[in-house]
Amino acid sequence: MIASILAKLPASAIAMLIVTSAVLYGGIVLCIVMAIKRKP
Amino acid sequence: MEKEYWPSRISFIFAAIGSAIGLGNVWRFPYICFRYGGGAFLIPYLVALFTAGIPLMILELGIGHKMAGSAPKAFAGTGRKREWVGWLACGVGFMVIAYYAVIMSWCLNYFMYSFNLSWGSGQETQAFFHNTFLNRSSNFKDFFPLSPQILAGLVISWVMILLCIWKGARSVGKIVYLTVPLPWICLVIFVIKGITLPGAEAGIAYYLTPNFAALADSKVWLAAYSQVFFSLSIGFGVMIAYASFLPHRSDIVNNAFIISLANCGTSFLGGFAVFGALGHYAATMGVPVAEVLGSSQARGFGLAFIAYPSIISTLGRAASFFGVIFFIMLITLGIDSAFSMVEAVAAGFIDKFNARRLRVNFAVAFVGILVGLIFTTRSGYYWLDIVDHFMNSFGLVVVGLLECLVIGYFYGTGKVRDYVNSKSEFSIGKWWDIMIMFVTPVVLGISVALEIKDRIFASYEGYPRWAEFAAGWAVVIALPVISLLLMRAKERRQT
Repeated sequence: MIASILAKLPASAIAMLIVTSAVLYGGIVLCIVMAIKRKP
Repeated sequence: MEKEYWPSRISFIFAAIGSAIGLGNVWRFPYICFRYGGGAFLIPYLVALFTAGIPLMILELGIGHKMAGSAPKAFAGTGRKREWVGWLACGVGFMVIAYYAVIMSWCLNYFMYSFNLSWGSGQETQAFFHNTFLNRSSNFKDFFPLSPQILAGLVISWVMILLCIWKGARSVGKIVYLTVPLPWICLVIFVIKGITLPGAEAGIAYYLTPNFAALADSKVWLAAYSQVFFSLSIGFGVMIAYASFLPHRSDIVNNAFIISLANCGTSFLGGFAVFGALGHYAATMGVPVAEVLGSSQARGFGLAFIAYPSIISTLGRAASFFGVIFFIMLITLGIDSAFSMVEAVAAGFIDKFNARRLRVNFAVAFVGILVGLIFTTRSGYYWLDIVDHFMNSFGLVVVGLLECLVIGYFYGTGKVRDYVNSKSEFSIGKWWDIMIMFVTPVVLGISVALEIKDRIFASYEGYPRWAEFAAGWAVVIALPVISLLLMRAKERRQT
């Protein structure tokens, strides 16, 4: 179902989806990893 | 009185995320995104997040932790004569909670209606909301009768808020394990449902397809900064109070990043639920998607109480289930924002007057219900709309601006930066000083100036000038005066 929705989206929309997800969700993961690895 | 602390770091992060994530994440962000360039809006939105949202979050958490006190105490710590800035933040928070509790009352009522889908279907939902539920008058002067069900919901909302903050950080630290993950679970259910509805792909295409030409428009950038600022719960004194409950050895910078990113990540996710559902709504109504997305039913109260109930009614046997889930999501999204604002106000009075927590909480609730009474009247919808607009456009923005000016030009960004760097898992550089001293105040200053200009030429929503003055300008003028009086009031020290 998700693949069929993505297939109907223009390439620019998919690019925005990837970039925004990477910044927001990737950023959270990075911060959590840092919190686990580096104790103040 | 013994100093309170969060039971754990996760409790604090959840509480701060819960405060930041509110109804606006679901009903404001998607509409703003559509209106200002679709997918292209995400670029200024991310820029605003990193240049204003996160720097201000670091500032509030930093001074709250450094001064170990609520907003008034924190600003008094930067200089005795600046305590009023903290009271102003509490005042704005109080006015917001006064009407926010009424919106929660609407959600509680709709939660009950969702069991038998009392709102009807299709266009009936609009008449149900305005006529049957609100019994909305046609002018500002028709107050009576008060709505008994909205009043009952208002009292229940305040009881829920009081129970959540009964023991301050200790009880909040526990309740957020329910009130933060629950709306996320509901939201994920709605995202899955939303994107799988017939016609949803048309709505999602509108959400993500960028119109890059919009980036040349300064209004788009201003809207992005405003959206980030409003959605992070900055300017209420909440983050300052919450950070003051952190133990001495606690991270600031990483926490600020996690809270801000989680908030914006939730908004982005919520967009899929809203745009998918509105794409489906347009298909069932037989109208173009753009027409639905541009209407009042794509945002705010229209989305939550008219469009979404209408969409839910089309879901057949599962309609009641989705209705219940939807309003549980709104109630749990709202409750932690609501109690965080009460907590911020209460913390101010506890710090300054050494008052008992329970007494302060009940006093805030009592005055909150009294102020909220006007929003339960037949013309309450209009009054609520004006107060909401003025608190967002002036109250919050002015507090944010003052925070930047106080720290940037009077207290010194270096002191705060050195302090947070000494505590945090990673450091911030001088870029943070530039954001606090120049970028954020300039954007917020322009925002206030444009709003004043707009209000000079026309009243908000064309409402009568006297009503706009009574619920808007008078409140905006009264809050700094009350803040100054509270600053001058004699402090009651612990014996």
